[in-house]
Amino acid sequence: MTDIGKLSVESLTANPRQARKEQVIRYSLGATALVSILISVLIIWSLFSEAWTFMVEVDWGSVWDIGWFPRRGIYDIKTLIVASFVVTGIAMIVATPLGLGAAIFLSEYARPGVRRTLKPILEILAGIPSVVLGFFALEWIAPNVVQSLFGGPAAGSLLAAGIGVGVLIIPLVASISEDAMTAVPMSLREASSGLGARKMTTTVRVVIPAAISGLVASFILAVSRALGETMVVFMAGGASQTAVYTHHPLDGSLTMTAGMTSLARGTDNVVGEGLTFQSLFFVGLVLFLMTFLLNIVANRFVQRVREQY
Amino acid sequence: MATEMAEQEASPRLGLDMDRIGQAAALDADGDPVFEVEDLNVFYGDFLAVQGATFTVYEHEITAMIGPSGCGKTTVLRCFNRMNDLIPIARVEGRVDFRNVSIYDPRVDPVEVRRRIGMVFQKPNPFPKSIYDNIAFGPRVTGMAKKKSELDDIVERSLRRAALWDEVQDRLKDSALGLSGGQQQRLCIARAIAVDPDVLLMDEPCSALDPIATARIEDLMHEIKNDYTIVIVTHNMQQAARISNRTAFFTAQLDSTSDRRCGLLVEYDRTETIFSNPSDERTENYVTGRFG
Repeated sequence: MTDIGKLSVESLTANPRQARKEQVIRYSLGATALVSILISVLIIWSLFSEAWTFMVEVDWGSVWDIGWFPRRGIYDIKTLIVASFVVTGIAMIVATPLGLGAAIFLSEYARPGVRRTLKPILEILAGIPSVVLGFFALEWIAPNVVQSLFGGPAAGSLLAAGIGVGVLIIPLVASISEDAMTAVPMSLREASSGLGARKMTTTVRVVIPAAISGLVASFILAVSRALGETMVVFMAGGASQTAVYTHHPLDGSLTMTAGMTSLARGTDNVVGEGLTFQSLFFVGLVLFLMTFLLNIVANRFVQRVREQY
Repeated sequence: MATEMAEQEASPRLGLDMDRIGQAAALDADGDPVFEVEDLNVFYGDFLAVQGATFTVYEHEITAMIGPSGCGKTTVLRCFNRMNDLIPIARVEGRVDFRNVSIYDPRVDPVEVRRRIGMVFQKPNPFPKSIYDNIAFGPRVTGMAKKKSELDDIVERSLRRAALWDEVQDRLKDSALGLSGGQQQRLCIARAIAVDPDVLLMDEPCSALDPIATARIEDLMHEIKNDYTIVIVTHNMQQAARISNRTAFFTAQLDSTSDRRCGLLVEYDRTETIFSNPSDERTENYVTGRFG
């Protein structure tokens, strides 16, 4: 037992060794946080500085031209952006209904046991390396879907790449949408059922509106993932080094990411030719700004989800 | 109602004003039976939650279900509109007739049952929509109102019946989540009566409310009981005594073999009998505050 009568300031003072240890831990943890921020800043700085060189020195006429031929000094950025948009659009057309359908099934219809089994499987699906899916898009989607159903080439095309990316982001859409819908309180479903609403009515009129911010966030994150996806579009996009402008899904083209990948392969080839090397950073900057903006918007939606109900 | 609560302080037993008990009742004769429950067993998985409940709920009465926690009164209430169907592991045995039709008949669609039997929940659960859309939800999904003007009428009538119209008529387009707890609960009552149900089930509707909001809800129940039949679960014995015509007392009985508690209907009678002259000793102990 402590003798309360003898209490002094000294008996309440911290052990100096303990206090010093606490300080060390505090600064080490602060340093690790600082390092990751520093790395991010360095990445953005290198991106900006090389892109700046490009923007200052390039003949802007070559940035709006007939296609992407960086080694010949033709850097038509719209070829890459349009190809990226076409791929992303097709991917969302594939992933939205399938992902949302899966989310509705898991959160509203599946019995608890079924959900416990299916949800982890879905999340494992999200971990499939994209190179595997790229191969799948090229070897299976291209001949069996693009050629048989749409009469396109059996080799790569924007459509094949888009479907491949769509398959890749289904688990992302399904998983985040499912989380958003499961977060809707049971009491709202009960209120709806109690008023004589059927399950589908409850889902469409109560659960989805209540979860809308989360659902929108999942779509935006999926778009940003699709825009940034590289391996599938590079393997199955139907162009390897250069591309003439096209917006037709059955043509082959280069997306922003695929264009950068083809440039970055074997840097010694790249460097010699004028601004070719710097154009890579310019495309990277455009892509970075797009996905950065999308992520900010998505974050705002996710925050709104937390404020509701 | 608020003054009535003050009066109760003078009462010797548990704050109950014995003279007023069952005054709400003043029953001359039994009305038509609305629910006839016979030998009702409810299981959650293997667990028997309620065993062998048998009683009858009569038209235009307020029937209260009281008892300690875990006695199965909410479970029984949720059998009346097949709300237990939403819990995958729940299973119901026995007979529950609603106006002489067995609602657990395989041909019966629970959605049709719930359109006739409204429910108000323990915690106010307005939809995160406008006040108007909350009330209009039921009429819209059941296809009751086709035109905007019809819908407007239903919304106004329901809010007036729930004594909420004066407070919200200027802000029908505002979110229902901006209302106070008591207002939200009256909104939920308005929402339930908007589909013009036959019966209103209330699961401890005042447990999340302060005494003034509670008094308003009780007033409201008195006003609407001529049009509806009300079954209410309450933790609050004074409330049961104040508002109900009949009271069912449930208790939780320990099963010695499984060591789990199982809900049991001990006694069901007119409210004044339950509170002043119960026939079962367990009821007597509960209403006098010696137990539970």
